Amino acid sequence: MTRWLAIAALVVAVAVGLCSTRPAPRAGIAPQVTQAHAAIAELTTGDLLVLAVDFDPASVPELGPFVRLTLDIALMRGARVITVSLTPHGAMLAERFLREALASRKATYGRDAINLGFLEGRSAAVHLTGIPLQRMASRDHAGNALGDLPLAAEVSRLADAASFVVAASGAPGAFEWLLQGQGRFARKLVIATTSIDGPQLAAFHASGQISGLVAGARDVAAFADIAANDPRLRGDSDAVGHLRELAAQMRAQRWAHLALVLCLVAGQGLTLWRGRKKGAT
Amino acid sequence: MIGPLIALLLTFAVLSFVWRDNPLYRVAEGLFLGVALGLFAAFEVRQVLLPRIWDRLAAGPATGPAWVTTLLVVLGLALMLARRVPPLAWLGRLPVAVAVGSLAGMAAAGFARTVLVPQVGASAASLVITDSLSHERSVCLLESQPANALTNIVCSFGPYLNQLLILFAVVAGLVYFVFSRRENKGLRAVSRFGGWIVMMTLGVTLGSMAMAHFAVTIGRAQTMMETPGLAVLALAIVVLTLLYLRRDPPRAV
Repeated sequence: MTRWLAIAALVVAVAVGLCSTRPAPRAGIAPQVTQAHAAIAELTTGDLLVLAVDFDPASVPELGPFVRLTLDIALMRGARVITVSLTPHGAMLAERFLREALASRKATYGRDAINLGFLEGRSAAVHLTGIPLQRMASRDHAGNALGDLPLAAEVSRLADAASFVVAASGAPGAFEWLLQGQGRFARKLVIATTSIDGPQLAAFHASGQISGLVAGARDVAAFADIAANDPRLRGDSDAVGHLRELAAQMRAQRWAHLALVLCLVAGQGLTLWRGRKKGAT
Repeated sequence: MIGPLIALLLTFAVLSFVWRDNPLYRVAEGLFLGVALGLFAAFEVRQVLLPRIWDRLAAGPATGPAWVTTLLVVLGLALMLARRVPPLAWLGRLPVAVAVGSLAGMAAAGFARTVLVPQVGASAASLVITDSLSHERSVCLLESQPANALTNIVCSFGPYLNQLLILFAVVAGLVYFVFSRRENKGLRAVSRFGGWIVMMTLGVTLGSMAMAHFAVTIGRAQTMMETPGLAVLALAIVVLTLLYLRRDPPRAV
């Protein structure tokens, strides 16, 4: 019975949060989020951005808006983008996000961006970004020969990119890029991750090894907030739309946390009360 | 319409586990595993085997002599299959040794370069690197405008105290896990503090996990709200199926 009550409380909390029309409280913006945004918004025409999409569909609500915004900002700034993934499902998500971004920015696949797709080998795959691109892969995600794509001919190797941006949850993901990418090639590395992995990666930001860190829905909302107010983007990015979507999520999360805390306190109280009652009899 | 409906049906089928273990949940679970494995196998063939072997052979000298690729593939297969022939089984260890050895070497170098040296350095040396601490101080002062005497004190000493706490927590955490030391009062107190630090870390991790799972739940709820008609239809299908399955329990043999 108590299990059903707890689940009902959480369902009601999420529903109330999503249905509420009250504006969400403005998220505090952590310095690492500002740095993450700066690293992406500073890209200029012709710069190469390597975007690793290493999360599963379950993490799309948390990390999807970040990837969409990153692609949007990079293409708006005239940067060239190559997406890669260390997992098969990540490659498919990257394809979806890239096609959407290319369509909204009227950019061309093959000239402005390529999805290299799934790279087998976890750490070894990241290690291989240091070899010439033509030797590293021969086809993109869709099976096109890299020789037929103009962008592939212009890029000598992925490790020469201006920045690595990694959106990852769990393994393989952020740690592989950190160990073999940043450590070896000393490139700017921006990591967006779920709130589970955030605390572990914070130490690498504190030591200066990560240029920017976005951890969890709250940070993604802060990232969208910065993008929406960045004069360099001239209000042209889709940040406002993402911000609205994330605001609803944050409201729901806030209510759900409150419900969870109440359930925990009530559960502890109930256990104590039952224990005392048993002791008395 | 079919795609979102299937997604919603599977979501409700998985959520039905809250009620109890049931055939619909098991179908969704099996489907998830099967699709994931099938997808992985298809990717291995399409993205790994074909480009790495077939394309290289077809490209010829552009990616190195074709005979090198052929030789390596044949050699790898032959050595792995040698495990099936008892007198030659030891040959099967060679490709495994090469794979494990190279990965271990790469990982060890990566850990030393990225984790061991920079992280130990950052924990120990941060107290003497005044640049980062003075930066933290100025950020703190900037964020707590208008400044008063209290914020000045907090911002001036806060970053140093923070670094001291981190350093002490690292040492206490290590002491907690060293079991071969001689017991004395001081060490016991440090070890107890380390234990509390470990507990707090676990608590924070658990809290973060709850947050991440809420984000997933909220994402699914948002999908349902985008297509409320489909969500109601999917829920009705799942509930009716469960009621039907409950009505006719399997007979005991």
